Amino acid sequence: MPFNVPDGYFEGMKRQVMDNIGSMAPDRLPSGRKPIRYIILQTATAAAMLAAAVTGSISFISSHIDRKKQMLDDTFFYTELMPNDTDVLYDADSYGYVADSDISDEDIIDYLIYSGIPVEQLNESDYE
Amino acid sequence: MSDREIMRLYRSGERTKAFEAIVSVYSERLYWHIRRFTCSHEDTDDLLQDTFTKIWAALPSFREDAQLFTWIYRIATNEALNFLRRKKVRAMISFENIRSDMEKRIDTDPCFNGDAIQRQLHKAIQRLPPKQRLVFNLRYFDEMKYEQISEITGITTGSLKASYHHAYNKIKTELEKIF
Repeated sequence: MPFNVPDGYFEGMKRQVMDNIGSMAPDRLPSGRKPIRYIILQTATAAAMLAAAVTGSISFISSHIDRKKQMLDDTFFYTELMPNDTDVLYDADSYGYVADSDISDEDIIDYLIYSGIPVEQLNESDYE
Repeated sequence: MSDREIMRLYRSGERTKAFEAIVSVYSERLYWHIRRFTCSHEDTDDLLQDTFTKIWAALPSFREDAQLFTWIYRIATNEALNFLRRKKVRAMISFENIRSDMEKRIDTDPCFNGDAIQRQLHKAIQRLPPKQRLVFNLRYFDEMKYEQISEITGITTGSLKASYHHAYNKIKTELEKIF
């Protein structure tokens, strides 16, 4: 190779690597020799994850059902509040618009004049 | 010490000694293998130490259905290719050209002591796509058989031969343009 390395690099690197792994234990055991403790730990982890998944699903489904039920109840509640009697719907007085208004005949005449209707066309008796 | 002797030592419980033997046998070979990807001593040093740390951590799970040699090379190759990927992403973010950066590294490398042809050869290798570069390096410099490269890379020998052929022709064309 047309490259070189600093003097003594490989010896130093080897020392450094051995120092680095000195504090580390191999994180897995040789294959085929897994102790019971390791298997129990794995099984317990899997069981815990399964339990969490089942609990989560049940709580999600039940909250979904509750929400649906609540929506249905709300629908009935608001339906009762809404007027469904046609007499009530078309009776302007029931909304209080006309009964509570203070519009006088004079106001109506002023409005009609303002709208451009000639005074001659206004039959005052209609507004008395 | 052969791979078989190393594994026998490891199985006998002498794990640290076996690992020490791996470092002694493979450090120089892996150094040059990685160096051809990084074009830098500092990056190679970092990757080599990471490679050995990973070998130590994964050694208990080594099932010996592959050769120790190919398994070790696979780890080192993955480290080198991941390094290139990270470098490529960083280059994309900063709008740099990774190829020109790698070529610049060869030009400015204080550890380079080759002649002009060797310099151009290494620059041409850096211009190859990663797969072709990997195959070319393992075949041309490490003189590995296609079957061995196949075990390391997981690529079929037919595909490896095609990649090597393309890489070889590209490098030849590049060098013919200059010399």
